[in-house]
Amino acid sequence: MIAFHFLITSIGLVLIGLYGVITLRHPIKILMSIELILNAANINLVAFSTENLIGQGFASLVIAISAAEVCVGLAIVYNLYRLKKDIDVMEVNALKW
Amino acid sequence: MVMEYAWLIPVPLFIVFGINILLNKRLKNRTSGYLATGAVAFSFILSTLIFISSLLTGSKFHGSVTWFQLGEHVIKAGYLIDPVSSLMLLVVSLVSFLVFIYSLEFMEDDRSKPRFFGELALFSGSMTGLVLADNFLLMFIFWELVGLCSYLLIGFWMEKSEAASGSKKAFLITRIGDILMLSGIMLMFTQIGSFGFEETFNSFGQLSGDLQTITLLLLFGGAVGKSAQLPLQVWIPDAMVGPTPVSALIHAATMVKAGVYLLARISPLLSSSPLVTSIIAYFGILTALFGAYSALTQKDIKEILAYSTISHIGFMVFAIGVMGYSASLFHLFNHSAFKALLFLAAGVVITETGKHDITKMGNFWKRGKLVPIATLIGCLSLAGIPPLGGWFSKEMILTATMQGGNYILVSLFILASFLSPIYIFRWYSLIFSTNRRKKVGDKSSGYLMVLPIVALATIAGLAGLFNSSFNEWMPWSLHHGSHAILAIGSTLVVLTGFTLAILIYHLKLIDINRIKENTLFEILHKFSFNALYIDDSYTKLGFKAFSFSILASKFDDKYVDGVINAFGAFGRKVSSKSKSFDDIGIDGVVNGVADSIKFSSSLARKIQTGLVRDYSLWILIGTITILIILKISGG
Repeated sequence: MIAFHFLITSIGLVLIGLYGVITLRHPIKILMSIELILNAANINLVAFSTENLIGQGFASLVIAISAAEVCVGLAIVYNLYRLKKDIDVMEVNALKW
Repeated sequence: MVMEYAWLIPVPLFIVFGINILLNKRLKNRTSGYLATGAVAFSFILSTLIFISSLLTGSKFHGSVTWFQLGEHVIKAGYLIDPVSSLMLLVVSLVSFLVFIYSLEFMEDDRSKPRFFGELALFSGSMTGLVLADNFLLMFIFWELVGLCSYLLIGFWMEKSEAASGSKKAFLITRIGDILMLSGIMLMFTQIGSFGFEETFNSFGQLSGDLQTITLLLLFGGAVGKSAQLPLQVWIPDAMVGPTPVSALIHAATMVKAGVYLLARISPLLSSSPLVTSIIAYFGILTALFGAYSALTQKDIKEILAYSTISHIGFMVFAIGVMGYSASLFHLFNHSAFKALLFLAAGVVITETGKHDITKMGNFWKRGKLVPIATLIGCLSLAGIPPLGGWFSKEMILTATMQGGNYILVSLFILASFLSPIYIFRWYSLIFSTNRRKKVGDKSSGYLMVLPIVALATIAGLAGLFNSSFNEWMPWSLHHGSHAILAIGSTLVVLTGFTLAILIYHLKLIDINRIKENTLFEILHKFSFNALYIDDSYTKLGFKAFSFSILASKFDDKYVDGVINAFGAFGRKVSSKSKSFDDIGIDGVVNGVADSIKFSSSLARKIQTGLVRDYSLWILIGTITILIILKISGG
């Protein structure tokens, strides 16, 4: 039964994160939403590691990597600002055909 | 040796031509005239020196350089000085010099003086070049240049339509002769392999007899065109529309003498072919008769002189035909002097009276004695009255004819020389005689126009003194036969003609109108006035050819073009059908494919916004869809 609550929580976090990534216009907020998705995965990893500590170790690895990932993300945002004097993601459509 | 520098003679004239034509209006009118006169004075001095040194030493000079190479034939270009060419050089440059001086005043008021003097300089320069040339090809080039210049100068007043058509006529008719001459030269080149005079003379004997005859006749054809012999004489009277100094140059120095010079040049070849020489003799004497006969009744002051030139060139050609080469050249020299003199005098008369019709002139003797007396000397020389140059040269020609022993030619020659004094003293009396009370204009000529006339009169008057030394100096001297009776007889004939002319036209003791009432004389008069209708019949023939060509063009338009047009229309119909198939069928398929791709891609491109969030939404949707499919199918 405990597992059920954990799953509900993590699904909620993932959905909130996805919603944020898809709808928000501010890149920092998008980075925060990505953090939410990662942390939903962490919750699952920790919750299901009852037999041994592999899951918890893996979760701390994810935290470390996500910290690095935020660094890269912020660097992208910073360069975006330098390039466009604006950080609205609706203006960044260079991937278009 | 002054002869080595002979090539310099035409050079300043060509330079002056270049300057005058290039600078044209930027040059002051006076400057252009002085430049040209200076250049021709240089040529005259050099020619005189060459003439004197040739006269004293009797030597020849031949200088040449390699011109170009044609296969194995090396073509050389150079200049040849011998008695013949040095005499021609003197005649050409002397007459040119005097005519240039005369033109300084005659063309005073003309706006295009630089063009006039430039073309005049080119004219004299080309003629001296023609005389200097040591081979047929170079000679032909200058020959053509002379023709071009005569075209330019006859049509100098090109705003007048008769000047334009006269120059065209002169150019086209002399062209016939030029083509014959060129084919003669080429024929000779194919057989001998050289254009040079000396090489040609050396190896001409190796050709077959027929080939020799054809070549010589072709070359004679060139002379016929240039020297206005029958039947190509029709351009000369029409050429009279040019400025008078130009007529003087054409008749006395630069144009019509070229043909005689060519014949004198090829004289070593002529002596081997009696057929050709007799053809030349008959052509010459018939031309002489024709010219003298036509000159009898003309009214234009210059046209009489033109027909007289035809007649006298006929004498020269005739003299070549009877092998009297030195006689021919002596007559050429005399003719240059008196004909230039008469033309320049005619120019004075025209400027002072403003008229061309001699029947409306008279009493010109009143206007100062210098010009009338000088003209009288010229007329006496032309008529062949002793002891002037014309008499000596005519006697020389007669002697040469007697040596040939053909009495038909002798009698024709005497007949032609009987007509000369009649027409020329008709001309002289109608213009100058005080018995005709006509008003004369009040314009008078300056010394620049009178001096050349006086100089030419001196030359014409004194030329007779040199006849025997001239004969000895020439390479083919005549043996003076003892035809004293004939000489006296022919002189008497000439004097009879002279007396007749004086009686009719000056003293009016014989009424010319009474003679004209006779039908025979009327017919003769008509034929003479229209120059035997030769020109008219050429025109008619030309029109016949023209109407035939109109017929041919109609046939061409209707039938030949009709067939072609029908083919064309058929082709157009077929191609228009195939075009519409192409438009609708093939292009439709191609365009349809392209259009459908364009339409579908316009739908697909809407998905691509370039925004990361949209892509991630699509990834999410895709993932969920795949998961749902897996759930349903995998269970």
